[in-house]
Amino acid sequence: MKAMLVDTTRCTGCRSCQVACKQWNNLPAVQTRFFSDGSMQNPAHRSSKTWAVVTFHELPKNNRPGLFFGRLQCFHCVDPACADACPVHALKKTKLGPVVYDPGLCLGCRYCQMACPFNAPRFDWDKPVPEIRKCTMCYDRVAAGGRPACVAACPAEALAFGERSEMVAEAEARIRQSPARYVAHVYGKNEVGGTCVLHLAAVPFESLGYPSGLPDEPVADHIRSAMHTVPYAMATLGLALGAVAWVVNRRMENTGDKPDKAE
Amino acid sequence: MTNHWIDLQNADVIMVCGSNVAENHPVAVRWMEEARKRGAVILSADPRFTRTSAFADRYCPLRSGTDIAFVGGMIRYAFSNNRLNYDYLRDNTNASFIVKPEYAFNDGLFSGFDPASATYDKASWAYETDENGVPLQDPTMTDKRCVLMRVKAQYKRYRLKTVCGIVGAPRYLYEKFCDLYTGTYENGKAGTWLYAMGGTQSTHGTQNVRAYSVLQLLLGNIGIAGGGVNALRGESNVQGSTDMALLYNQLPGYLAAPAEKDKTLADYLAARTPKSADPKSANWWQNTPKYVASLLKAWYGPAATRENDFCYDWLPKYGRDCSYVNLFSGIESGDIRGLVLFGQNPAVSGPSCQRQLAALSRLSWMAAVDLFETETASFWKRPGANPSDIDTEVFLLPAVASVEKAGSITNSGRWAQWREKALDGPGDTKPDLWILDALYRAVRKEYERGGVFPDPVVNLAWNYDGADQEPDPRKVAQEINGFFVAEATANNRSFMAGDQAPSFAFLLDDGSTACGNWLYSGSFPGPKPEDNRMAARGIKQGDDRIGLYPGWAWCWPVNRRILYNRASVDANGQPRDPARWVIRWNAEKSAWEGDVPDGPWPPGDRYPFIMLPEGHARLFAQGLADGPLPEHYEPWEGPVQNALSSQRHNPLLLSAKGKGPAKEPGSPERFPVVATTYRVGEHWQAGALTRNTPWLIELVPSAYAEIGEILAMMLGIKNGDRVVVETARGSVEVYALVTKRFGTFRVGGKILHEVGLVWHFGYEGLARGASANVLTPDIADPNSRIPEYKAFLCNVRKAAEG
Amino acid sequence: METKRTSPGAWVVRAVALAGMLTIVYRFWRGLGAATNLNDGYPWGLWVTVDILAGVALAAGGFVIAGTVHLFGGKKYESLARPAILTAFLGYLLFAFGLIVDLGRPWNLFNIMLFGNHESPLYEIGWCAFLYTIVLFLELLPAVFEKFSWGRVKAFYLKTSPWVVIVLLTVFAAAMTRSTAWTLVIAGILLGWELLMETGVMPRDTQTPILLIMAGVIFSFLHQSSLGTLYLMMATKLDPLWYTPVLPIFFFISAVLAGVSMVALEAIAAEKFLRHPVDLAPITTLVAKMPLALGLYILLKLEDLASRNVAGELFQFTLPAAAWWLEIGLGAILPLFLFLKRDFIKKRGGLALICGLVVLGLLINRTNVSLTGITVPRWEPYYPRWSEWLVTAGILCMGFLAYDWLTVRLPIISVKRAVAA
Ligand SMILES: Nc1nc2c(c(=O)[nH]1)N[C@H]1C(S)=C(S)[C@@H](COP(=O)(O)OP(=O)(O)OC[C@H]3O[C@@H](n4cnc5c(=O)[nH]c(N)nc54)[C@H](O)[C@@H]3O)O[C@H]1N2
Ligand SMILES: Nc1nc2c(c(=O)[nH]1)N[C@H]1C(S)=C(S)[C@@H](COP(=O)(O)OP(=O)(O)OC[C@H]3O[C@@H](n4cnc5c(=O)[nH]c(N)nc54)[C@H](O)[C@@H]3O)O[C@H]1N2
Ligand code: SF4
Ligand code: SF4
Ligand code: SF4
Ligand code: SF4
Ligand code: SF4
Ligand SMILES: [Mo]
Repeated sequence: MKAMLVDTTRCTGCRSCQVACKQWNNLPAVQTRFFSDGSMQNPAHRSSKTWAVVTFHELPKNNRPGLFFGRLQCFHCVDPACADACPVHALKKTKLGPVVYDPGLCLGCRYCQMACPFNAPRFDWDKPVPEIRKCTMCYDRVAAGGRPACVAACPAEALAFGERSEMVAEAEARIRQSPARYVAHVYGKNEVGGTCVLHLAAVPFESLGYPSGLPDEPVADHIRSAMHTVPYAMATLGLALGAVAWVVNRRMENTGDKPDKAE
Repeated sequence: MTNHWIDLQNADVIMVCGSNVAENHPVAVRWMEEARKRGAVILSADPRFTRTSAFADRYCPLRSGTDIAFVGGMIRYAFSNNRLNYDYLRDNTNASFIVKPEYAFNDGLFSGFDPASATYDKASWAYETDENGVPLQDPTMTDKRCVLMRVKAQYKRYRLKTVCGIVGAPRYLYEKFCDLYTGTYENGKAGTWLYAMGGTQSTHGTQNVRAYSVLQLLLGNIGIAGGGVNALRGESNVQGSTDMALLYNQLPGYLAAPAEKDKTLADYLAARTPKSADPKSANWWQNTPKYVASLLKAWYGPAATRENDFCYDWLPKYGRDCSYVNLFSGIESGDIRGLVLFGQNPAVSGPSCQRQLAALSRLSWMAAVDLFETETASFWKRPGANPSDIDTEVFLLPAVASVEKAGSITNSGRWAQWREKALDGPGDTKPDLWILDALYRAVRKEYERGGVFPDPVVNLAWNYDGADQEPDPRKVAQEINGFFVAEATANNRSFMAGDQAPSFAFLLDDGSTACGNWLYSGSFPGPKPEDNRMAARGIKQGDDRIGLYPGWAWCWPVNRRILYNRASVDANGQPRDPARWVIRWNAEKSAWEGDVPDGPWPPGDRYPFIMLPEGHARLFAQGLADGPLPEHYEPWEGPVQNALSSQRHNPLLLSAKGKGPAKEPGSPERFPVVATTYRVGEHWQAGALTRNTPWLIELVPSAYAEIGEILAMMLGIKNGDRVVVETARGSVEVYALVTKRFGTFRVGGKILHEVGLVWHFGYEGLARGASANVLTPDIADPNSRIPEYKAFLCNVRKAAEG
Repeated sequence: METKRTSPGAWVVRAVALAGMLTIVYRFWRGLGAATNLNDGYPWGLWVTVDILAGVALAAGGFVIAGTVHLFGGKKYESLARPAILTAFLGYLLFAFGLIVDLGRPWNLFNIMLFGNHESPLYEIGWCAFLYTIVLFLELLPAVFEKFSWGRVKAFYLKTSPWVVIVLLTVFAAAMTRSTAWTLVIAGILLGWELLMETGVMPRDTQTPILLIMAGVIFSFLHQSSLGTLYLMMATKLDPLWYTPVLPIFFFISAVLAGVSMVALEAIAAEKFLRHPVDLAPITTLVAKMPLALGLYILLKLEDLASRNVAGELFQFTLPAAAWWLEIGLGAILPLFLFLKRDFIKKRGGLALICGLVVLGLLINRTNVSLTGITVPRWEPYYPRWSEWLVTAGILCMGFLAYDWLTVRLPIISVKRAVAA
């Protein structure tokens, strides 16, 4: 399983990755006015036309004004909530790692959007024939043995790509080698069961706009137990209702209040 | 760059001062990161906290226009903490040279100043020499008149407190910077200084760069791996175009352009060929006659003979300042009537651009060769102009983009890299070479029918046609490399007419060689396409221990990757830093190893700085117009008095009165806020390329000014408001980016504010906005003539609603 | 009667229905973004909340009454059964219609049946609601047979419908579990009952197929609760005041409560607006059981909050806390108190008010779960666009019109009387 490692401490906020994504995936520019955020972020959010955004955060550094970056895209969860939520397998986890989408199956119900803990899937609100769109981890390139367009474009080598286990090891090695530079946490190693986009940061991830307080269990675990009760509920209800009906009918029969005779 | 991009990985301390490398040279950061992996520290000094600062480990603010104070303080810090590399200074620099006793420095003025003309007589800045003309030295470097002591005396006034009071930085930050950076004085420690327009675009810009160099020499950081004074160049091929004589006062290969006083070739050579009486000085420029003769042969071909001085007379001789700013005075005055713009957009990029725009309508014709209809090309229909009032005839010649043609591009590390055409240009677009070729042929046709002084035009050696009858850039490249026009023996080798020159060491002054640019000799040493060394892509070839990659492309001079590398070794040719050695002398083989050394001589035979007649790098230099040592002055529009002397700004600017800037400088009373201009990573220059690219417009859609939170609060400005920024030249309305990243500057007991504008915008293209150059002063550095885009005065207010 | 149908009110209903339908055309022409304020932060809005979540819950009266009458021997409620089933049937048709309007790619709807992901609660809801609508249709058929006096057809219906039900439930079990064992177990249970009835070991209701009613209850239980399961996915987004592992159970209970209230409310409203006579007695008896259920519901909610250690948040000055109090205060506590005033529920107005409050409570609850309780960091709050209101109102009005049209034509109201005549 492949994974991307985003080392936000190396990122310069140049946004080559953001543009490379649009270029490779043929996504149109969106209309912006000035900047969307306190600093220079644009656009404000991911959308069906912008699958990844570099986020800007003016936060203190060494007790002086500073500037930090984050990067939001689809995290390609190891056990993706979106794929579990999707009623038609339009979103699927591939063996290679990317979570991919098939519009031919999709209903446009947007449950994946509600389910995703990273708010990654986006919808074509402006189209009569809409699709769910999100970062594909450049499945086309990756399947052909390449690396994602954004990774290839990053001048700072803030983005790396490889086997997930190696990326986790690399991330942990970086923290070990420069403990002062990083918060001691590989975001995505365990979050919601692990993701295939891992992040390193110099400041708490929460302050860089990453969802915080995520559990280590896959989000889908929450529905699995409920879903697994379905056949039990059916069987129990089937038995219980029949039995009740039988008993009730028998009693009415005995009291002479036979339903048949209602006519 | 004295070094090159990959070499940044070898540094221990990387100082980014005068550049925003992460935005403007983004690929560089990967080599900086390599350095950091090895434990290097990255420092960022900039008026505002940039994306480079975000990438750096530490940040220190400095007010725009105060680099010399900033560096001067470091120089003093190095002296007072004994952080000088004495061995290095003695062997490699003019530290031990004795300066003439008449030399003096007093209250901001060096000796020899003539207030009437506002120029210096530089005679007193010379070295004391012996009877043979060899400079006197004091190897102990303790003589009061030796250069090192002169330097020490000069910067004695630059105390931490004084400097912080000028640059406006908190002392603890600045002191830490001094400490970290001067720590590289030891052998085995390398500090590199990265600068670009933040350093140069100033009325003392050349002296800013001199200040960086002086500090680097004091610390022994030049010529070594991971060191250097590294100009991060601008336009993709600006290094190449500078090498080919971008400036009016140069010929290709940094030969001086003949001035009016250089009447004959002999006059010219006598005046321009440096001499040295010291046998240990290589004095490379003594070869000037060979390079000039070869150049003229390349230009005028068979018409150029020894007897007719190789047609030297045909060269134009300049009699006055023809630099960029003055060109426009020439247009204004009607002296210049036609203008060809090859990929330039002065209506957006020039200082005081309103003035330039107005000047353009005085032209009778203008031809713009560009990818887009730029603001300059459409000046006649700009907002507010009435096309029927403008008589200028304007031509727009569509050019192909860089990837749509073959040719070489020389990067900041002096690597000439050949690129093949990737795809065809759209429509009728043509390569610049094709356009130039057609233009020349048309002009020649006119001159063949007669005209004033047709000789230089009709006799030009001009045939670059390739197999397909189209001009072939390879032919141009081969001419630039140089070739033999006649059978000859050079450097003990014999050549046939038509042979390509192996390198400039084989060029001759007798007319048997032709060479378009001696510096590039060796780049294309054979007749076949495979001989094009600029197209070499051998990554694994040669010595890549310290990332020299000599098999990748070709680098001037003679593929030397680190300039002045002789300074990296001791008298026995052994590296001062054995871990990251650049060159070393193998006594057994009697040969140098590693990079191509500065000259073939064994160690000790020649002084290390072979391009200078004294053979030593200059801490103290006679060359510049405005002083032998960098001295702090306020910008032309300075917000305060000079804290170090009563010379408010560069004294040579007095000479600009009347002929230079159209307007008097704005006063700090009316314009209390310091202003600067700069780039963002997402846009390119005057914007034609990027303001027509929707993906980039999405990221930065509009012109804006960065304003610190405190100033914004005082003025009642909120993030995203429209604000008016006004200077003595004009005013613009832009968005306000209110940010913590622009702090305040405590200067001379006052709190100063600074704002910064991006200058990429104009009224053409898909994304439009006000041009920052409406605001900038058309005052220039007295040496380089670069305008002071980086420091001026303004006023800011919230724009009226609606 | 006629007067009411030509009254201005009736015309308003028709006009709103028409306007709603036109808006739907616009929505399909220009896309969801043009017709709604939905966005990537709030991809589910008014339509999901009202048309789907609340709509399905309020139609729960159908299976509750049907089950009570036919399984639990609540014969006294028989007069309520058909209107409740009709309402439910119409409710589900409208829900399906609303769903199609809300889906981005409704033409792929049947992919659920073909390529479904049985792990997804939405898959379950899709199947379940689809099959339950068939069940409701079958439950409603006797009224048609009566209307046209198709005795033979009805006999055929009575014979075959148990088998149809067995097939439906078995297919459902197979689809849901993808397990042969489970499919056989479910089929076995159903076949078992049918066999028992066939052999006369167990008495058979000759008027209504018991298995059909059972299927209605099973399907309803499953998808009513699964609508809650949907939100178990929103672990990181839904406020802890609502996010609980037992959310499906709460969804089911609240649906039953509101469904029953809806039946009562409907009867009273039908009498007032459509002049259908109403027998208040069964309604009052039915409703009399409500305080107990409401009380239990409130206790369960509090117990759940306490056990998850979030009860403290109820007493903080936050929007979710206020929304929670509004939901429980108006929808459960207040009706509970009013119920306890015996004479209050004797009056039509009082009864209507109480039931109305419970229904309102459900609406607020579903809004809280699907909108108020969902936080999207750094996102503008969502408010429905006027066109969303119009579509919802239009669909509702279509429902009124259909109900009116059908009740006039079919023997729905007061079955006894119809049959007697
Ligand atoms: N993306 C992008 N890259 C580019 C270009 C572009 O337009 N866009 N242009 C190219 C060209 S032609 C050039 S010349 C280079 C220029 O490259 P840079 O010199 O890096 O460009 P600038 O942004 O003009 O200025 C750099 C920094 O100088 C700071 N500064 C302002 N005043 C002073 C001062 O007095 N002292 C010091 N030390 N710093 C100061 C500014 O705040 C700014 O951050 O970039 C090249 N690269
Ligand atoms: N205020 C302020 N002003 C500045 C600066 C600053 O820092 N502040 N910086 C200054 C600096 S460093 C520079 S270098 C100048 C740059 O100023 P200019 O050179 O005037 O600006 P560019 O936008 O780079 O102009 C290049 C033009 O070439 C076109 N072009 C691109 N490729 C080709 C090609 O292959 N062939 C041809 N024929 N045309 C091509 C582009 O479309 C563009 O219009 O601006 C200066 N102006
Ligand atoms: S981030 Fe969201 S969309 Fe991406 S795989 Fe995880 S759950 Fe799915
Ligand atoms: S919108 Fe499409 S992809 Fe998302 S859950 Fe629904 S069917 Fe699946
Ligand atoms: S992996 Fe591909 S799709 Fe995803 S953000 Fe990078 S470039 Fe875009
Ligand atoms: S390309 Fe790399 S450095 Fe640039 S914004 Fe993206 S991650 Fe950061
Ligand atoms: S030269 Fe090209 S690759 Fe290098 S930094 Fe500039 S734009 Fe990027
Ligand atoms: Mo430049």
